[in-house]
Amino acid sequence: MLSFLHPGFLYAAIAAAAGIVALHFIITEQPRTGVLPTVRFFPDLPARASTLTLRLSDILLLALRVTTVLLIGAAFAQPRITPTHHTVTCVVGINVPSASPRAKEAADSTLLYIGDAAAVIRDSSGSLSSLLVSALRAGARVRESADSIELVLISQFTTNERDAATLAIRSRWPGRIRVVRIPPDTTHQPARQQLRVEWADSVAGSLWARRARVDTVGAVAVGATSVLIYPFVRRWRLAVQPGKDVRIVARWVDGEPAIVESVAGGTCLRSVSFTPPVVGDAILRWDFVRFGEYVRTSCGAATPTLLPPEFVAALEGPAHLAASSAIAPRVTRMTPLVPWLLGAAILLALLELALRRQRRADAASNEGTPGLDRAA
Amino acid sequence: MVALAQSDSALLDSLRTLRWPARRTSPVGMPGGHLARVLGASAEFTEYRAYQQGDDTRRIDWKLLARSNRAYIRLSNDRTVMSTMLLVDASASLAYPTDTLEKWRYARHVALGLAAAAHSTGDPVGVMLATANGPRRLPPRTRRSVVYEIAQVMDDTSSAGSPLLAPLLPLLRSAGRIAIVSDFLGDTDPLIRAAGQLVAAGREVHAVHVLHAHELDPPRKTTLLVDPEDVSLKRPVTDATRRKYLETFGAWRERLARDWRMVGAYYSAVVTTEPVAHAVRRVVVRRAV
Repeated sequence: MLSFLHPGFLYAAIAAAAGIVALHFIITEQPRTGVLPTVRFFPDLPARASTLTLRLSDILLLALRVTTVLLIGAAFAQPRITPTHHTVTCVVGINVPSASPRAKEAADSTLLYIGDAAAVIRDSSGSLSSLLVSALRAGARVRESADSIELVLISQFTTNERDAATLAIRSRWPGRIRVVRIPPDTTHQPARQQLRVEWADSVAGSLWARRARVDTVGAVAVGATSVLIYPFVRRWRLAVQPGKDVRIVARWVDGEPAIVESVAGGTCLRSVSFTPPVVGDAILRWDFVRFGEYVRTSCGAATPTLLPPEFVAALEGPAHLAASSAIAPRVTRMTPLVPWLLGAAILLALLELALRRQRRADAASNEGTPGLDRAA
Repeated sequence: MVALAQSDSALLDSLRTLRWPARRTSPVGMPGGHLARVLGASAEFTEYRAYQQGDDTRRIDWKLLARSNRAYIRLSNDRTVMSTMLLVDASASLAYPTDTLEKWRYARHVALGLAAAAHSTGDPVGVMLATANGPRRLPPRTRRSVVYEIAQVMDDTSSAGSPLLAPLLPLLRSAGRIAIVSDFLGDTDPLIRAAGQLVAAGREVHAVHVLHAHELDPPRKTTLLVDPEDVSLKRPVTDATRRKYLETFGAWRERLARDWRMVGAYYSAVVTTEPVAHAVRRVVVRRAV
C-alpha cells in the first residue's frame, strides 16, 4: 500500500493543481483580434465569441502543469510502499526441528494460523530465546500492516528450550503470546540403562568432528539443570544429524549442540564436547556442582521435561494483543522514488516551457512577414 | 550623399539598367529620351513639309529650294524629357502588419524603384507623400542624388491617418507622368475621376495597387478583425465570412482595375510576396511608344 511520510505536501500540491485547473476555466479568453486594412470587405455580422472553452493546446498545457505540480508534491511527500493494513495480524514462530518426529504435527498447527500470518519464522536451534528474538524482528517488520499483532509460538516447550534469558526477551514483546504446544517426542526415550560418559577431548568418537576454527564460547546450557558460564574452548562440532538415535541434551549459548546422548547395545553413551575445569573457583559454583551431578545420572533421568505451567503462563503474558505502535519501528530510508519524481517533474516543466514557446512562435508566424527582403 | 539602407541599395542595384519609356508622345520640353508630341527642328531628319506663312524661314531647306525652286522646311522627331511625379499613399491602411509595417515598406520600395527607373531614363523625378499631416512634396529633379533624397523623404514618413489623395492629384498637373502608389482604400472614386482629367489633359497616369498577402488570404487563426483606419469597424472571421470576403474583395479589385483602365490609366497590382524588383519591372516595362 502506498503511503506518504509527509502527506501535507501532497495536499498542498493537489490544492495548487486545483487552482491551476480553475484558472484554466476562469480566465476568459478574449477573441483573437487582428488588424486587416481590407476588413471592410468582410460581411457585417454581429461579432460574437464564446468563452469558457478549452482548446486542445490548453488541455495539453493544463495536463503538463497539473502533472508537474502533483509530481513535485508527491516527491516532497516522500511516498512509501507498505503492505495492506489489517486490524490484527500474527507472527508465527515454529521451534520444531524438521527432523523431529513431531514436525508434521507442527506443520498442521501452523496451517491454522498461517492464513492470517504476516510472517512465519522457523528456528531450528531449539531455543525459545532465539525464536523470540526472531519474532521481535518480524514484529517490527510487519508493524505497519496492522493495528495489533499476535505472536504464535509453536513448540514442544520442554525445559531444553528454555534458558535464563527467555523471560527477559519475552518481556520485550508488548502483548499476548499464543502458545501452541506440540506433544514431546517420547518414543525414543530409553529406559534406564547403563551410563557411559565420553569426553570428546579425551576420546575422539565418531559423534564429533574437529572444528576448522577453534573458538571460545562463554557458556553451556545443560537442559534446565544448569548454565555453565566459563571460557570453554570449543574444538568439536556434532558430526551426525541429531534425531531418534542421537539426542541433544545441552547446547552452547549460540545453539550448537554441546552434549548428546545415544543408545548403543543397552548402554547410554553421553558424549560431552568440552572439558570442564577441574581446578579453580569455577568448580565451586552451584551450576558446576549440578552439572557434575547431572553427568553422573542415567540417560532416562536426563530426559527433557515439559516446562512448568507457571513458566508457560509467564510466557503467554497479558491477555491483550500487542499494539503495533508499541513495537519499535525499523529504521526507514528515503524511498528511491523521490529523485525519480523530481526528475520527471523537471522534465515536464521543461516540456511545458517548450510547448509555450512553440505556441508563441506559431502565433508570431501567423502575423508573419512573408518576404519583403526578397526585393532583389 | 544620403546613406541608403541595405535593402534600398540592393533594389537600386537590381534596377540599374531599367528604363521607363513613355507610353505616348510627350509635350515638347527639354531634350530627353521620349518622343515629343510635335515634330521639331532637331538634326534627326524625318520629312519635308511645304513652307507655310508663319514658318520660321531658318528652317527652309535652301539647297532644295535652289534645285527645285520650291520652298520646303525640314521636319524631325523631337526627343524630350517626361517629368515624373510619384504620389505615394501614407495612410494607416499601409501600416500593416503593425509590427513590421511590411506593406508600407513594400510600397516605399516600389516607389523608390519607379523613381530609379525614371531617373535612369533621364527624366526629372519627384515625389508627393500623402500623409496625415498634409502632403510632403519633393519637386521633380534630374540631379544625381534625387533618388536618394526621395528615399530619405519616404524614410522620414510614417504611414498613419486617412489622408485624401484626390485633392493632391491636380497639384501634379505639371508632370507628364504620374504614378500613384496606394492600396486605394481611401477616396478611390474621386481619385479615379481626377486621374481621368489628367489623362485627358495628356498626362500618363499609372495606378500601382499595393496588396498584402494577408489581404488575399486572411489569417484563419484570427477571430475578430479591426480596420486600422477605423477601430470601430470590426468584423468576425468565420469560414463563411471568409469566403464572402474573398468573393467581395475579388470583385472589388476587378472593378477597380476596370475603372482605372476606363479612364486611360495604367493599372498594376503588386503583392508583397512578389520580389520588389520584379514588381517594378512589371509596372515599367510595357508596350512602349
